[in-house]
Amino acid sequence: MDAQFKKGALELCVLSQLRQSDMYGYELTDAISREMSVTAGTLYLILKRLKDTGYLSTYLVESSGGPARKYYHLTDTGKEYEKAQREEWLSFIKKVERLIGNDED
Amino acid sequence: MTKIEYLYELQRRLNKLPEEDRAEIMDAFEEHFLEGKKAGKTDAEIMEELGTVNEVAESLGALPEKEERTGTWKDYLNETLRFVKDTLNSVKETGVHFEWNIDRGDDFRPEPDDMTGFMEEEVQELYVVSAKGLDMKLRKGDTLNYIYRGESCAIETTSENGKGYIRVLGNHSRHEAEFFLEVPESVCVLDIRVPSGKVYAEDITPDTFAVSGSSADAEIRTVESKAFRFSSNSGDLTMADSSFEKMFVNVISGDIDIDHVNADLDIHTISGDIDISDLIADEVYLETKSGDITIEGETAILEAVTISGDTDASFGNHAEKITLKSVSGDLDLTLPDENFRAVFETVSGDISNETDVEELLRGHGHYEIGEGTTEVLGKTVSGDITIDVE
Repeated sequence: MDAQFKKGALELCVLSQLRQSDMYGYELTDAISREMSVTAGTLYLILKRLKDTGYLSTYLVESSGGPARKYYHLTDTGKEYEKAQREEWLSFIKKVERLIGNDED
Repeated sequence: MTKIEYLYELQRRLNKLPEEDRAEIMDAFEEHFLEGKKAGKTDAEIMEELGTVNEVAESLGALPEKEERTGTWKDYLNETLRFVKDTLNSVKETGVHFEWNIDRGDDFRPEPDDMTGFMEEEVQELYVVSAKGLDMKLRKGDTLNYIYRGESCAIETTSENGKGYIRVLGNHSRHEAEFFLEVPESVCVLDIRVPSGKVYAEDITPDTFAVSGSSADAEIRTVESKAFRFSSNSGDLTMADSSFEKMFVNVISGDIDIDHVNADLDIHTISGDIDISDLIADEVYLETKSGDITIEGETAILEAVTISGDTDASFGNHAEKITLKSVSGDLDLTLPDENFRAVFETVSGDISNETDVEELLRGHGHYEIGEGTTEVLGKTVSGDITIDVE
Protein backbone atom coordinates (compact mmCIF):
# COMPACT_ATOMS: atom_id res chain seq x y z
CA MET A 1 0.00 0.00 0.00
CA ASP A 2 1.17 3.53 -0.72
CA ALA A 3 2.96 4.77 2.40
CA GLN A 4 1.27 8.16 2.44
CA PHE A 5 -2.13 6.52 2.09
CA LYS A 6 -1.47 4.09 4.89
CA LYS A 7 -0.17 6.85 7.11
CA GLY A 8 -3.36 8.84 6.66
CA ALA A 9 -5.50 5.81 7.39
CA LEU A 10 -3.56 4.98 10.54
CA GLU A 11 -3.82 8.54 11.75
CA LEU A 12 -7.55 8.41 11.29
CA CYS A 13 -7.76 5.08 13.17
CA VAL A 14 -5.84 6.54 16.09
CA LEU A 15 -7.97 9.68 16.25
CA SER A 16 -11.21 7.74 15.90
CA GLN A 17 -10.28 5.33 18.68
CA LEU A 18 -9.82 8.32 20.94
CA ARG A 19 -13.14 9.87 19.92
CA GLN A 20 -15.00 7.54 22.28
CA SER A 21 -12.74 7.76 25.30
CA ASP A 22 -9.22 8.60 26.41
CA MET A 23 -6.83 5.66 26.24
CA TYR A 24 -3.32 4.91 27.39
CA GLY A 25 -0.60 3.91 24.93
CA TYR A 26 -0.66 0.17 25.38
CA GLU A 27 -4.44 -0.04 25.29
CA LEU A 28 -4.59 2.03 22.11
CA THR A 29 -1.78 0.31 20.21
CA ASP A 30 -3.20 -3.06 21.23
CA ALA A 31 -6.67 -2.17 19.93
CA ILE A 32 -5.33 -1.03 16.56
CA SER A 33 -2.70 -3.70 16.00
CA ARG A 34 -5.36 -6.36 16.63
CA GLU A 35 -7.17 -5.21 13.49
CA MET A 36 -4.36 -3.98 11.30
CA SER A 37 -0.84 -5.14 10.58
CA VAL A 38 1.00 -2.24 12.11
CA THR A 39 3.60 -2.22 14.85
CA ALA A 40 3.06 -0.45 18.14
CA GLY A 41 6.32 1.43 17.60
CA THR A 42 4.98 3.11 14.47
CA LEU A 43 1.82 4.04 16.31
CA TYR A 44 3.78 5.74 19.09
CA LEU A 45 5.44 7.97 16.53
CA ILE A 46 2.05 8.80 15.03
CA LEU A 47 0.76 9.62 18.52
CA LYS A 48 3.74 11.87 19.10
CA ARG A 49 3.16 13.68 15.80
CA LEU A 50 -0.56 14.13 16.47
CA LYS A 51 0.26 15.51 19.87
CA ASP A 52 2.81 17.95 18.43
CA THR A 53 0.20 19.11 15.91
CA GLY A 54 -2.20 19.81 18.75
CA TYR A 55 -4.80 17.17 17.88
CA LEU A 56 -4.03 15.21 21.02
CA SER A 57 -3.10 16.10 24.54
CA THR A 58 -1.69 13.80 27.18
CA TYR A 59 -1.92 13.45 30.94
CA LEU A 60 -0.55 11.01 33.47
CA VAL A 61 -2.63 8.78 35.70
CA GLU A 62 -1.08 6.79 38.51
CA SER A 63 -1.84 3.10 38.06
CA SER A 64 -1.94 0.51 40.77
CA GLY A 65 1.18 -1.60 41.05
CA GLY A 66 3.14 0.16 38.34
CA PRO A 67 4.37 3.46 37.03
CA ALA A 68 1.99 6.16 35.83
CA ARG A 69 0.19 5.64 32.54
CA LYS A 70 0.16 8.33 29.91
CA TYR A 71 -3.35 8.85 28.59
CA TYR A 72 -4.10 10.37 25.21
CA HIS A 73 -7.02 12.76 24.80
CA LEU A 74 -8.57 14.13 21.62
CA THR A 75 -8.52 17.95 21.76
CA ASP A 76 -11.25 20.14 20.28
CA THR A 77 -9.20 20.81 17.14
CA GLY A 78 -8.46 17.09 17.08
CA LYS A 79 -12.19 16.35 17.13
CA GLU A 80 -12.81 18.69 14.20
CA TYR A 81 -9.92 17.22 12.28
CA GLU A 82 -11.05 13.68 13.00
CA LYS A 83 -14.57 14.46 11.77
CA ALA A 84 -13.30 16.06 8.56
CA GLN A 85 -10.87 13.21 7.89
CA ARG A 86 -13.51 10.58 8.64
CA GLU A 87 -16.02 12.17 6.26
CA GLU A 88 -13.40 12.46 3.56
CA TRP A 89 -12.42 8.85 4.07
CA LEU A 90 -16.00 7.56 3.94
CA SER A 91 -16.82 9.51 0.79
CA PHE A 92 -13.59 8.26 -0.77
CA ILE A 93 -14.47 4.67 0.10
CA LYS A 94 -17.90 5.11 -1.49
CA LYS A 95 -16.35 6.35 -4.70
CA VAL A 96 -13.88 3.49 -4.78
CA GLU A 97 -16.67 0.98 -4.18
CA ARG A 98 -18.66 2.44 -7.06
CA LEU A 99 -15.67 2.31 -9.35
CA ILE A 100 -14.56 -1.20 -8.55
CA GLY A 101 -18.12 -2.49 -8.63
CA ASN A 102 -19.80 -4.76 -6.16
CA ASP A 103 -20.12 -8.47 -6.98
CA GLU A 104 -23.51 -8.69 -5.33
CA ASP A 105 -25.05 -6.15 -7.71
CA MET B 1 18.48 -8.44 21.41
CA THR B 2 17.57 -7.64 24.98
CA LYS B 3 15.18 -4.93 26.07
CA ILE B 4 18.05 -2.68 27.15
CA GLU B 5 19.78 -3.10 23.81
CA TYR B 6 16.53 -2.37 22.02
CA LEU B 7 15.94 0.84 23.97
CA TYR B 8 19.54 1.87 23.65
CA GLU B 9 19.49 1.32 19.92
CA LEU B 10 16.22 3.20 19.58
CA GLN B 11 17.61 6.13 21.50
CA ARG B 12 20.61 6.21 19.18
CA ARG B 13 18.40 6.15 16.11
CA LEU B 14 16.35 9.05 17.38
CA ASN B 15 19.48 11.12 17.92
CA LYS B 16 18.50 13.94 15.58
CA LEU B 17 15.38 14.74 17.53
CA PRO B 18 15.40 17.40 20.20
CA GLU B 19 16.13 15.84 23.58
CA GLU B 20 12.61 16.48 24.84
CA ASP B 21 10.94 14.77 21.89
CA ARG B 22 13.27 11.85 22.15
CA ALA B 23 12.64 11.50 25.88
CA GLU B 24 8.90 11.51 25.23
CA ILE B 25 9.17 8.73 22.66
CA MET B 26 11.51 6.70 24.87
CA ASP B 27 9.02 7.09 27.72
CA ALA B 28 6.20 5.73 25.58
CA PHE B 29 8.26 2.68 24.60
CA GLU B 30 9.35 2.01 28.15
CA GLU B 31 5.77 2.29 29.34
CA HIS B 32 4.81 -0.20 26.62
CA PHE B 33 7.40 -2.68 27.91
CA LEU B 34 6.03 -2.41 31.43
CA GLU B 35 2.42 -2.74 30.34
CA GLY B 36 3.29 -5.70 28.14
CA LYS B 37 5.02 -7.38 31.01
CA LYS B 38 1.99 -6.78 33.23
CA ALA B 39 -0.12 -8.43 30.53
CA GLY B 40 2.13 -11.50 30.81
CA LYS B 41 4.24 -11.05 27.67
CA THR B 42 7.94 -11.69 27.41
CA ASP B 43 10.38 -8.97 26.32
CA ALA B 44 10.85 -10.77 23.01
CA GLU B 45 7.10 -10.76 22.36
CA ILE B 46 6.87 -7.09 23.27
CA MET B 47 9.74 -6.21 20.94
CA GLU B 48 8.01 -8.06 18.14
CA GLU B 49 4.85 -6.11 18.87
CA LEU B 50 6.75 -2.81 18.83
CA GLY B 51 8.50 -3.63 15.57
CA THR B 52 12.21 -3.55 14.89
CA VAL B 53 14.11 -0.38 15.67
CA ASN B 54 14.70 -0.09 11.94
CA GLU B 55 10.99 -0.09 11.23
CA VAL B 56 10.35 2.45 13.93
CA ALA B 57 13.16 4.69 12.70
CA GLU B 58 11.86 4.45 9.15
CA SER B 59 8.39 5.53 10.19
CA LEU B 60 9.75 8.74 11.71
CA GLY B 61 7.97 10.36 8.77
CA ALA B 62 7.25 13.99 9.50
CA LEU B 63 9.69 14.09 12.38
CA PRO B 64 12.99 15.81 11.48
CA GLU B 65 15.56 14.09 9.27
CA LYS B 66 18.31 12.21 10.98
CA GLU B 67 21.95 12.19 10.12
CA GLU B 68 23.17 9.71 7.48
CA ARG B 69 24.75 6.71 9.08
CA THR B 70 27.79 5.03 7.68
CA GLY B 71 28.35 1.30 7.88
CA THR B 72 25.80 -1.45 7.68
CA TRP B 73 23.04 -2.17 10.07
CA LYS B 74 24.94 -5.16 11.37
CA ASP B 75 28.08 -3.09 12.08
CA TYR B 76 25.97 -0.68 13.96
CA LEU B 77 24.29 -3.35 15.98
CA ASN B 78 27.64 -4.85 16.87
CA GLU B 79 28.93 -1.47 17.90
CA THR B 80 25.94 -1.06 20.17
CA LEU B 81 26.37 -4.48 21.69
CA ARG B 82 30.03 -3.77 22.27
CA PHE B 83 29.19 -0.54 23.97
CA VAL B 84 26.73 -2.17 26.31
CA LYS B 85 29.16 -4.96 27.17
CA ASP B 86 32.05 -2.55 27.70
CA THR B 87 29.96 -0.43 29.98
CA LEU B 88 28.85 -3.42 31.98
CA ASN B 89 32.45 -4.62 32.26
CA SER B 90 33.93 -1.28 33.20
CA VAL B 91 32.95 -1.51 36.84
CA LYS B 92 36.17 -2.59 38.48
CA GLU B 93 38.52 -0.98 35.98
CA THR B 94 37.54 2.59 36.69
CA GLY B 95 37.21 2.28 40.46
CA VAL B 96 40.67 3.72 40.84
CA HIS B 97 39.50 7.16 39.76
CA PHE B 98 37.36 7.67 42.80
CA GLU B 99 38.02 9.81 45.75
CA TRP B 100 34.72 9.81 47.53
CA ASN B 101 34.62 11.71 50.74
CA ILE B 102 33.31 9.04 53.05
CA ASP B 103 32.55 11.52 55.84
CA ARG B 104 29.57 12.66 53.84
CA GLY B 105 27.89 9.34 54.29
CA ASP B 106 28.28 5.78 53.18
CA ASP B 107 25.87 6.43 50.36
CA PHE B 108 28.69 7.81 48.26
CA ARG B 109 31.10 4.93 48.70
CA PRO B 110 31.19 2.56 45.74
CA GLU B 111 30.40 -1.06 46.47
CA PRO B 112 31.86 -3.98 44.49
CA ASP B 113 28.82 -4.44 42.25
CA ASP B 114 28.42 -0.76 41.44
CA MET B 115 29.11 0.65 38.01
CA THR B 116 31.41 3.62 38.17
CA GLY B 117 32.82 6.11 35.71
CA PHE B 118 34.15 9.59 35.27
CA MET B 119 34.53 12.31 32.70
CA GLU B 120 38.04 13.32 31.79
CA GLU B 121 37.35 16.57 30.01
CA GLU B 122 36.61 19.52 32.28
CA VAL B 123 33.18 20.58 31.10
CA GLN B 124 31.31 23.84 31.65
CA GLU B 125 27.96 22.42 30.67
CA LEU B 126 26.64 19.10 31.85
CA TYR B 127 23.50 17.43 30.57
CA VAL B 128 22.29 14.32 32.34
CA VAL B 129 19.43 12.28 30.94
CA SER B 130 18.10 9.14 32.51
CA ALA B 131 15.53 6.51 31.78
CA LYS B 132 12.68 6.07 34.22
CA GLY B 133 12.70 5.52 37.91
CA LEU B 134 16.19 6.50 38.91
CA ASP B 135 17.14 8.20 42.15
CA MET B 136 19.81 10.67 41.18
CA LYS B 137 21.97 12.12 43.94
CA LEU B 138 24.14 15.11 43.14
CA ARG B 139 26.76 16.72 45.27
CA LYS B 140 29.96 18.69 44.98
CA GLY B 141 33.18 16.99 43.93
CA ASP B 142 36.64 17.85 42.65
CA THR B 143 36.13 15.95 39.44
CA LEU B 144 33.15 14.59 37.60
CA ASN B 145 32.51 11.06 38.88
CA TYR B 146 29.55 8.81 39.03
CA ILE B 147 28.46 5.62 40.74
CA TYR B 148 25.50 3.60 39.56
CA ARG B 149 23.86 1.08 41.83
CA GLY B 150 20.96 -1.02 40.62
CA GLU B 151 19.83 -3.44 37.93
CA SER B 152 22.16 -3.71 34.97
CA CYS B 153 21.97 -0.76 32.66
CA ALA B 154 24.07 1.09 30.11
CA ILE B 155 25.65 4.45 30.86
CA GLU B 156 26.93 6.59 28.05
CA THR B 157 29.21 9.56 28.71
CA THR B 158 30.48 11.87 26.01
CA SER B 159 32.11 15.27 26.09
CA GLU B 160 32.95 17.76 23.42
CA ASN B 161 33.89 21.46 23.45
CA GLY B 162 33.23 21.90 27.13
CA LYS B 163 29.87 20.16 27.00
CA GLY B 164 29.36 16.87 28.77
CA TYR B 165 26.53 14.42 28.31
CA ILE B 166 25.63 11.49 30.53
CA ARG B 167 22.87 9.10 29.57
CA VAL B 168 21.66 6.39 31.89
CA LEU B 169 19.65 3.80 30.00
CA GLY B 170 17.47 1.01 31.26
CA ASN B 171 14.15 0.73 32.95
CA HIS B 172 14.53 1.03 36.68
CA SER B 173 11.97 0.11 39.27
CA ARG B 174 11.18 3.17 41.27
CA HIS B 175 13.68 3.87 44.03
CA GLU B 176 15.66 0.71 43.32
CA ALA B 177 18.39 2.25 41.23
CA GLU B 178 20.65 5.03 42.44
CA PHE B 179 22.96 7.24 40.48
CA PHE B 180 25.45 9.29 42.46
CA LEU B 181 27.08 12.15 40.64
CA GLU B 182 29.83 14.42 41.86
CA VAL B 183 29.68 17.79 40.16
CA PRO B 184 32.83 19.94 40.14
CA GLU B 185 32.74 23.74 40.40
CA SER B 186 33.77 24.11 36.77
CA VAL B 187 30.24 23.09 35.72
CA CYS B 188 28.29 26.31 35.07
CA VAL B 189 25.25 24.82 33.40
CA LEU B 190 23.68 21.72 34.91
CA ASP B 191 20.64 20.20 33.28
CA ILE B 192 19.08 17.05 34.74
CA ARG B 193 16.26 15.15 33.07
CA VAL B 194 14.73 12.18 34.82
CA PRO B 195 11.23 11.14 33.68
CA SER B 196 10.38 9.62 37.04
CA GLY B 197 12.24 8.90 40.22
CA LYS B 198 13.85 11.56 42.34
CA VAL B 199 16.68 14.05 42.07
CA TYR B 200 18.53 15.00 45.22
CA ALA B 201 21.06 17.82 45.12
CA GLU B 202 23.17 19.38 47.80
CA ASP B 203 26.14 21.71 48.08
CA ILE B 204 26.47 22.38 44.37
CA THR B 205 27.03 25.78 42.74
CA PRO B 206 26.35 25.81 39.00
CA ASP B 207 25.30 29.16 37.48
CA THR B 208 22.15 27.68 36.10
CA PHE B 209 20.57 24.51 37.36
CA ALA B 210 17.57 22.83 35.76
CA VAL B 211 15.66 19.73 36.79
CA SER B 212 12.85 18.38 34.67
CA GLY B 213 10.83 15.21 34.22
CA SER B 214 7.22 14.16 33.94
CA SER B 215 6.81 12.73 37.42
CA ALA B 216 10.22 13.19 38.95
CA ASP B 217 10.47 14.71 42.41
CA ALA B 218 13.33 16.96 43.42
CA GLU B 219 14.84 17.60 46.80
CA ILE B 220 17.34 20.45 46.82
CA ARG B 221 19.42 21.53 49.80
CA THR B 222 22.20 24.06 50.25
CA VAL B 223 22.48 24.84 46.57
CA GLU B 224 23.68 28.23 45.32
CA SER B 225 23.05 29.25 41.78
CA LYS B 226 22.05 32.23 39.67
CA ALA B 227 19.02 30.57 38.19
CA PHE B 228 17.13 27.43 39.09
CA ARG B 229 14.38 25.88 37.01
CA PHE B 230 12.10 22.97 37.90
CA SER B 231 9.51 21.64 35.53
CA SER B 232 7.41 18.55 36.03
CA ASN B 233 3.86 17.29 35.67
CA SER B 234 3.30 15.49 38.92
CA GLY B 235 6.67 15.75 40.60
CA ASP B 236 7.04 17.54 43.95
CA LEU B 237 9.76 20.05 44.72
CA THR B 238 11.22 20.30 48.20
CA MET B 239 13.85 22.97 48.67
CA ALA B 240 15.67 24.24 51.71
CA ASP B 241 18.60 26.42 52.74
CA SER B 242 19.41 27.54 49.21
CA SER B 243 20.07 30.74 47.36
CA PHE B 244 19.32 31.81 43.78
CA GLU B 245 18.88 35.07 41.98
CA LYS B 246 15.82 33.70 40.30
CA MET B 247 13.85 30.50 40.60
CA PHE B 248 11.32 29.30 38.03
CA VAL B 249 8.93 26.48 38.77
CA ASN B 250 6.34 25.03 36.44
CA VAL B 251 4.32 22.01 37.54
CA ILE B 252 0.81 20.64 37.09
CA SER B 253 -0.07 18.63 40.16
CA GLY B 254 3.22 18.60 42.02
CA ASP B 255 3.46 20.34 45.40
CA ILE B 256 6.11 22.98 46.01
CA ASP B 257 7.69 23.30 49.44
CA ILE B 258 10.31 25.99 49.91
CA ASP B 259 11.93 26.72 53.25
CA HIS B 260 14.69 29.14 54.17
CA VAL B 261 15.53 30.21 50.66
CA ASN B 262 16.87 33.45 49.29
CA ALA B 263 15.48 33.87 45.76
CA ASP B 264 13.08 35.74 43.56
CA LEU B 265 10.33 33.33 42.68
CA ASP B 266 8.24 32.68 39.63
CA ILE B 267 6.03 29.66 40.37
CA HIS B 268 3.13 28.23 38.42
CA THR B 269 1.06 25.16 39.31
CA ILE B 270 -2.35 23.88 38.32
CA SER B 271 -3.43 21.86 41.35
CA GLY B 272 -0.22 21.69 43.33
CA ASP B 273 0.04 23.53 46.64
CA ILE B 274 2.73 26.17 47.12
CA ASP B 275 4.16 26.36 50.61
CA ILE B 276 6.89 28.91 51.25
CA SER B 277 8.42 29.75 54.60
CA ASP B 278 11.32 31.88 55.73
CA LEU B 279 11.80 33.45 52.32
CA ILE B 280 13.99 36.40 51.43
CA ALA B 281 13.23 37.90 48.04
CA ASP B 282 12.61 41.09 46.11
CA GLU B 283 9.96 39.89 43.74
CA VAL B 284 7.66 36.92 43.99
CA TYR B 285 5.08 35.81 41.48
CA LEU B 286 2.87 32.80 42.35
CA GLU B 287 0.08 31.35 40.29
CA THR B 288 -2.09 28.28 40.85
CA LYS B 289 -5.55 27.18 39.78
CA SER B 290 -6.75 25.00 42.63
CA GLY B 291 -3.69 24.69 44.83
CA ASP B 292 -3.39 26.59 48.09
CA ILE B 293 -0.67 29.18 48.64
CA THR B 294 1.05 29.74 51.95
CA ILE B 295 3.87 32.25 52.00
CA GLU B 296 5.80 33.66 54.91
CA GLY B 297 8.92 35.80 54.73
CA GLU B 298 10.31 39.03 53.32
CA THR B 299 9.66 40.30 49.83
CA ALA B 300 9.22 43.76 48.39
CA ILE B 301 6.75 42.69 45.74
CA LEU B 302 4.32 39.79 45.76
CA GLU B 303 1.67 38.85 43.28
CA ALA B 304 -0.30 35.70 44.14
CA VAL B 305 -3.10 34.56 41.85
CA THR B 306 -5.41 31.57 42.37
CA ILE B 307 -8.78 30.41 41.08
CA SER B 308 -10.14 28.28 43.90
CA GLY B 309 -7.07 27.89 46.08
CA ASP B 310 -6.78 29.77 49.37
CA THR B 311 -3.92 32.17 49.97
CA ASP B 312 -2.32 32.74 53.32
CA ALA B 313 0.40 35.39 53.22
CA SER B 314 2.42 36.86 56.02
CA PHE B 315 5.21 39.40 55.61
CA GLY B 316 7.94 41.30 57.37
CA ASN B 317 8.30 45.07 56.98
CA HIS B 318 10.07 45.16 53.62
CA ALA B 319 6.84 44.60 51.75
CA GLU B 320 6.13 47.37 49.27
CA LYS B 321 3.43 46.05 47.03
CA ILE B 322 1.28 43.01 47.67
CA THR B 323 -1.36 41.83 45.25
CA LEU B 324 -3.58 38.85 46.05
CA LYS B 325 -6.20 37.70 43.59
CA SER B 326 -8.64 34.79 43.53
CA VAL B 327 -12.00 33.77 42.15
CA SER B 328 -13.36 31.67 45.01
CA GLY B 329 -10.31 31.20 47.20
CA ASP B 330 -10.03 32.97 50.56
CA LEU B 331 -7.32 35.57 51.03
CA ASP B 332 -5.68 35.78 54.41
CA LEU B 333 -3.01 38.43 54.94
CA THR B 334 -0.85 39.18 57.97
CA LEU B 335 1.35 42.29 58.10
CA PRO B 336 3.95 43.26 60.73
CA ASP B 337 2.46 46.66 61.52
CA GLU B 338 -0.24 49.09 60.54
CA ASN B 339 1.87 50.95 58.03
CA PHE B 340 -0.16 49.87 55.03
CA ARG B 341 -2.80 51.08 52.64
CA ALA B 342 -5.11 48.34 51.48
CA VAL B 343 -7.80 48.14 48.84
CA PHE B 344 -10.08 45.09 48.78
CA GLU B 345 -12.62 44.17 46.21
CA THR B 346 -15.05 41.28 46.53
CA VAL B 347 -18.41 40.54 44.99
CA SER B 348 -19.91 38.17 47.55
CA GLY B 349 -17.15 37.43 50.05
CA ASP B 350 -16.84 38.76 53.60
CA ILE B 351 -14.09 41.04 54.78
CA SER B 352 -12.79 40.83 58.33
CA ASN B 353 -10.46 43.34 59.80
CA GLU B 354 -8.52 42.04 62.75
CA THR B 355 -6.39 45.17 63.03
CA ASP B 356 -6.63 48.24 65.21
CA VAL B 357 -6.72 50.44 62.15
CA GLU B 358 -9.88 52.46 61.81
CA GLU B 359 -12.93 50.81 60.32
CA LEU B 360 -13.07 49.80 56.71
CA LEU B 361 -14.46 52.29 54.28
CA ARG B 362 -17.15 50.37 52.44
CA GLY B 363 -18.88 50.88 49.17
CA HIS B 364 -20.28 48.46 46.63
CA GLY B 365 -17.80 45.66 47.13
CA HIS B 366 -14.91 48.11 47.38
CA TYR B 367 -13.18 48.49 50.72
CA GLU B 368 -10.26 50.64 51.80
CA ILE B 369 -8.28 50.60 54.98
CA GLY B 370 -5.18 52.40 56.31
CA GLU B 371 -3.00 55.20 54.97
CA GLY B 372 0.49 53.71 55.32
CA THR B 373 3.19 52.91 52.75
CA THR B 374 2.83 49.20 51.99
CA GLU B 375 0.39 48.94 49.12
CA VAL B 376 -2.02 46.03 49.39
CA LEU B 377 -4.56 44.98 46.79
CA GLY B 378 -6.89 42.03 47.42
CA LYS B 379 -9.38 41.03 44.75
CA THR B 380 -11.74 38.06 44.86
CA VAL B 381 -15.14 37.19 43.47
CA SER B 382 -16.56 35.00 46.21
CA GLY B 383 -13.67 34.41 48.59
CA ASP B 384 -13.43 35.91 52.07
CA ILE B 385 -10.66 38.37 52.91
CA THR B 386 -9.01 38.67 56.31
CA ILE B 387 -6.33 41.17 57.22
CA ASP B 388 -4.41 40.90 60.43
CA VAL B 389 -1.50 42.64 62.15
CA GLU B 390 0.98 40.59 64.16
